[in-house]
Amino acid sequence: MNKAPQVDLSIEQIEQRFANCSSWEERYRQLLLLSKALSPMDSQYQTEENLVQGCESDVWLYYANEQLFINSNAKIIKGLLVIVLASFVQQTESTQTIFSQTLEKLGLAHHLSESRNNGITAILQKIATLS
Amino acid sequence: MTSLKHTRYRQFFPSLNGTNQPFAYLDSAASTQVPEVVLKDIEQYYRQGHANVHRASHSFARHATNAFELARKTLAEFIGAKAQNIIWTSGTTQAANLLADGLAHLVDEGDEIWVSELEHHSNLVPWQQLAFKRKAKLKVIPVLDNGDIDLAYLRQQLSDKCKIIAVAHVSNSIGAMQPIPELSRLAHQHCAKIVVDGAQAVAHLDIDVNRLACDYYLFSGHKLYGPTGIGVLYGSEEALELLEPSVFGGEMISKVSFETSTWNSLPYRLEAGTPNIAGAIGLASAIKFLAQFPIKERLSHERQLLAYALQQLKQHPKVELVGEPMMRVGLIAFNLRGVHPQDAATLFDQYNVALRCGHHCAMPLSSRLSPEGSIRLSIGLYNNQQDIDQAIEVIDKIMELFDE
Repeated sequence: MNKAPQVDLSIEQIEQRFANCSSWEERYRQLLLLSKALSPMDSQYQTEENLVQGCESDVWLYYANEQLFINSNAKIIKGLLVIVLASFVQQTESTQTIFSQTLEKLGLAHHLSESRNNGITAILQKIATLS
Repeated sequence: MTSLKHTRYRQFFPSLNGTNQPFAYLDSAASTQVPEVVLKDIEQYYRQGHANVHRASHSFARHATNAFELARKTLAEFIGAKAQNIIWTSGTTQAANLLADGLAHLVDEGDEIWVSELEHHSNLVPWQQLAFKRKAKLKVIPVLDNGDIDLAYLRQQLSDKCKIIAVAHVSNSIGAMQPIPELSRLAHQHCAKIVVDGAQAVAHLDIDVNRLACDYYLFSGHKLYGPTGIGVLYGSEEALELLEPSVFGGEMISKVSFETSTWNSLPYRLEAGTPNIAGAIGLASAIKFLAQFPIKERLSHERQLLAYALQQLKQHPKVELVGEPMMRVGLIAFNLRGVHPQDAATLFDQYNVALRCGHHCAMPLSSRLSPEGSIRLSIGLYNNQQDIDQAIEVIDKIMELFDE
């Protein structure tokens, strides 16, 4: 299996996209645009067993040969997954640390930390068990 | 004055007044806001001297016992029952579990327990577990496309094997009202007991357990303008006598030796441990709060508001209703075309509109009518036209973001 990564954006590039956002609405607009940067996950991996428990929306996670594939049927979550993947490839610190730092920088941390049931925590916990 | 634009009820709720941002609370089906008088009565109980009930003879204990038993009487009258028919529980879920345990002796291998497809988990899982334990069958009354239950199916399938029918009076995910008197008649025809989960009904209907003719009726305080952690299990005399206690200790005991124990009389036999005294007082206070308004006016305000919301949502080109029951009570479930309900939830929250998205703890129904879940708009006394308009405006804003 040799597949291209699902996201072709670095954390810096993501941060740049949010640089000129002055309101939370613009940040969400960017987040929704970001969701389009996630190339589709091979549908054969969108199975029951790859579903992440604890998400109100469906989130699939598949890991093989040091490659991580994720997808969701909710767009805001998909946008966040792009940030998760970009954090994952960074590998300087844990995905969780980079992800939270990035959310803070993008001005999204406050808005999203309140809705715990969005399942991002569950995804990050799952990722932490991978490597 | 009470109209759709200005409700005279709102002023009594401190949490909905005094903030600068207009906050549309449209999640009363999950929990209602609490009026000032309820907060005061709970506080006063603790301030005047708090003690355990039915135990000591000092004045604090006498005061607590009187207030607690008076609360029981208030709740009883509220649903057309007598005080001795009211068992305090921590809420609907505990009441359902008490029933599923206490009625286990009625159910044998091969017997049937019936629930409907629209039950929320609290009135489904306890019965499912009971069925497992007793090797009985859990049977399901299916739901039609519009969200009403298929009564014809039940009439055809119900037999004397059925020992218990457990149904919601009003569905928490689509607001469909069930024909309880008819279901009671059917249950009793087959000598089965009927359990009615009234959690979503008590705040929005004029409940009379005699007219419903059910054996058990359960509800929670926190959906009825009262505090959390308190609820009611009503049972007819005969139905309560049938219940075996499953929680032991405290006031439910009459005599104990190492060889055996005997139980207190009803209702105490089913109330183990120290009860939620302040909760009971708070819930009674909420009932008294409601009683000061003519019930017709109160319910008509809600009906008009719900009709207005339904009309607004129906007219919206991006809204898809989930379920269109014949009799709708208290809430509307819908989806926004092309938007996952969880995405919608995140954005409603950002725009200060509180409503619930997801499966509403009723996953079987959700998978039947709307697999990804839905958005639920539910109302309370304090809501007005402005709250609904605010929600509709947010829908427009969400669609703008998503259509880009």
